[in-house]
Amino acid sequence: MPENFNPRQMLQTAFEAEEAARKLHSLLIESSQGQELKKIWQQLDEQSSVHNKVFRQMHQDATSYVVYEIASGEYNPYLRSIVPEYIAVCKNINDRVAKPFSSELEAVEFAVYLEIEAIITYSALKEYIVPDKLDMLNKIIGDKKKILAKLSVCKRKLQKTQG
Amino acid sequence: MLEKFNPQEILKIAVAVEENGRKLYENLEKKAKDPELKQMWAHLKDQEADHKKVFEQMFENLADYFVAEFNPGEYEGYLKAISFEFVFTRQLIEEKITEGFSSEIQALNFGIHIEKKSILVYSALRDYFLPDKKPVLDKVIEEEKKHLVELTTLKKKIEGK
Repeated sequence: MPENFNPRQMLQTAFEAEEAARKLHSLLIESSQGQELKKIWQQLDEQSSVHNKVFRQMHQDATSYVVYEIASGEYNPYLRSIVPEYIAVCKNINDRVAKPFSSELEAVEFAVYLEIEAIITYSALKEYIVPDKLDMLNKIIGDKKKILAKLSVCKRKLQKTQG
Repeated sequence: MLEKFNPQEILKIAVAVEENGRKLYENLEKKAKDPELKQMWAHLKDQEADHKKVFEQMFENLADYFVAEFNPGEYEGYLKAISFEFVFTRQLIEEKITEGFSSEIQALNFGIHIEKKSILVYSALRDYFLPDKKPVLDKVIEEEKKHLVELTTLKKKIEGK
């Protein structure tokens, strides 16, 4: 866990999570039986690809995007708590790539968990992004919210049929 | 299940989640052997009781807190989704009150899960609050964030032992 946390590390974790998610989505696209769900995995994959590029760009050019702390340790303890949590999410994605899901419902539930974690984490990051660059992060959070809505509908349908 | 996003319904769920959270933290406080852990569960228990009162007050005086027209627009699906997840969280807490946890880490992780869901839902609800009433909700959100910090700090400490 990063002891001397800064938002640039968060950006790195974000693009790594989006990259790991892409591997998972590829597997889910391949294994998915229903067209509706396959379409959602494809959409998620496309989004993760775009989000990965945006976070990489933000990470590489961090001085243009991140509000840096004036004194060491000034960053909000909440954000410092959120980062290790998101690193654990990243690890969970890699674990799930290695261990296939037992059902479509389980896969959708995992995807819901990922989107919620991303929304919480990226929302916490907003405070540390320079104001004129916030639109980029807001767009990513908006994408996550919309796909979460679709996943949630899918989850409810699957719960009715499989639950 | 919530068919339409409705702040009134969300408040009802929030009251139930805070009440269940209080019961769960009370159980954990009773069972905890580590004094630091016991103290934290007691603190969380008290705060959840306070939050429940705040949400009850809001529920009884809806017009004083919420904007008259709710128009979530393109995010209506999102609000429905997180409301649905919040209902699920309420049910999950009920189960955990009965079942308990196999370890302190498992209990701490579950506490983190509850706080995250609360932050997510209350932050979404904030958009529908009247400007002069937003600070009331902001205080609750800030307290939930502090709980998350306390839980993750203690988790790190226990994991490092």
